[in-house]
Amino acid sequence: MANPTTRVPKMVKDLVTRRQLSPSARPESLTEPQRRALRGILSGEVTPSFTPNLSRAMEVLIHADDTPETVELVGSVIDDPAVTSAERASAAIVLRKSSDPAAARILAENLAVDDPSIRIQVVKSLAAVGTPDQLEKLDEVEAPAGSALEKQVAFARDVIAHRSGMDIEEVSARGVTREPGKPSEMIDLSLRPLTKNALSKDRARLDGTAYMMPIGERGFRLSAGNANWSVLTNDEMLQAGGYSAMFDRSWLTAVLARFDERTNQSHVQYVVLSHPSGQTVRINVFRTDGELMYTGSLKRAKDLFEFVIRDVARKGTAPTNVSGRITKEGPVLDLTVPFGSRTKTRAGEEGVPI
Amino acid sequence: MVNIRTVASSCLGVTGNISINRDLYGYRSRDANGRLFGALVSNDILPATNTPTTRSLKAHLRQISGHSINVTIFMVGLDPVDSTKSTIDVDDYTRVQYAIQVCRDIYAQAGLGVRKLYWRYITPDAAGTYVDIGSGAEATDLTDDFSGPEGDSIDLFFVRSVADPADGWSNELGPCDKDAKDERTGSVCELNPGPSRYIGVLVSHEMGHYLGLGSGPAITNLMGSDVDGDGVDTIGINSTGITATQASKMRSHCSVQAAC
Repeated sequence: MANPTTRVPKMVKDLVTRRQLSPSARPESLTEPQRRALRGILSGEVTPSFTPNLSRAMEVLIHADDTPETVELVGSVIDDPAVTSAERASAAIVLRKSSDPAAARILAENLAVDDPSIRIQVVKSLAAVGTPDQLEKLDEVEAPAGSALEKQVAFARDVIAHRSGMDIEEVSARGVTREPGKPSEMIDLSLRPLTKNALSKDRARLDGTAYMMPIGERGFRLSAGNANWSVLTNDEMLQAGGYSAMFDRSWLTAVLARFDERTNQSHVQYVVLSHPSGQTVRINVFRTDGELMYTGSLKRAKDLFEFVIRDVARKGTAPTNVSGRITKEGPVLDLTVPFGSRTKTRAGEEGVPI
Repeated sequence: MVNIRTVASSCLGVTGNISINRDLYGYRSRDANGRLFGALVSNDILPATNTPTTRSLKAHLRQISGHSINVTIFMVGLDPVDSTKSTIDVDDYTRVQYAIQVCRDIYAQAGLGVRKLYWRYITPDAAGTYVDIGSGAEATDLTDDFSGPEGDSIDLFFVRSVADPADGWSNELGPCDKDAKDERTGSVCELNPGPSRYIGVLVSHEMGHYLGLGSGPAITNLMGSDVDGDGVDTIGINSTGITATQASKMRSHCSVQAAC
């Protein structure tokens, strides 16, 4: 027999029935009746008279009540056959925004979830919040060779290992050396340090995960054509000796948060991983789906350090070479070869085959 | 007087036997019950006729003969071989067809037709995690990775889910170079965020951004209203109005095709 419909607080109804949930509409805290109603909607113990949007309910709960109980409840949606696959995927996605340690454990428990399109979101979220405790379970994930899942698992392992300072297996990809093209083919690229005030604003704009990286007080603005990123660096690394620490162990060195002018928010688009490699430091820039986009190295030099970063040959690459120095004042770009267009983007498949 | 064969030939490149839905409208799917627009709910009505499914072929031909856009539709997550891996089914296709028809009705007010539909799909493995879009940055990644090879269209991606704050993402004044680096070179919409008519409004809204429109003056406007100034427009099933200024701006976008 179905549960009788239950009255829920008006504010909860407004939140979980609205078309879009902007950051300004997300409450920072919940009253007990609101929390109870939201949890009841997720668990199915509360049957409202309207159709609730479970994704909104999960988003609100994780934002305002990021506790082990909430994480457990959201985690239970990942494997719930009674809800839609989109809602199950949303549960996996929302958990990457949690800073509660229970999130990593619960995600790891869902690595064998039946639906591969949800499993890959679970792995992606583990990259954001996982710890070495989950590496063994990641190893057990059966991923077809060359599949998107295999790439995502490798990335999750890599991020966790770098974040924890573990020894790293070399990634074999090599960057491509680019010669400048015609002026019309190129775009402007610049990197400049952020003032304390600007960095503080950029941190406030960041929505969602910073991949469990403590954000340091050194940050930069990277601009390429019309696009802008906040380059947020790892505070633990800076405290451990600044950029010299990159020669001592592997690091999740920085994240690049893409700025969206319309919403005035930013989201992490690239994750910068580094590890010592002989006398140099290997630098790899990954997209959050595990795609290696740029690779390069850092070496000691008179000015402190010299670095070079190149794009990796892949379908849809944006040909880009950057080299420069890290001085006491921060990074200085000496050479930039940023093309304005991607090459050989994929077209998907043509037709309507169903 | 609009002649079907003339429009089919000169605007759509179609000659010989002509199927109205397939060739003139570009609709390719029917659900298990033979419905072009799938299951509709009570408030799913087309903006032009205020009925669930009534269309005017004459009006359609007139619209696509004038200033128009072409659209490359990417269905993200379709596995044509193994349906258990697919996050797309035939109902999604009919839902999208309805959304396009709603969009056609809305854009007709701006003197802008939706002429050609190019249908493409992206397999789950090729799409990877982008079957679900977790942020605006991921919407950019998806449109960066895939571009419709047709040089004369706007890319429109349908994904299973789009995480908050929005049901869709689009640049304001999107580029016509679909390989432009670090731009969002298409519109991204959630497949099933509400009633079929709402998806049509959402599609029209996101492509409206791409065509150069910012936030609108009211919720009854296609571009809705950004009441709290956070960049997220509030829209609903009645967000269908277009002002003369908006219409003029849409028609001046670089992707708009000349009359044929």
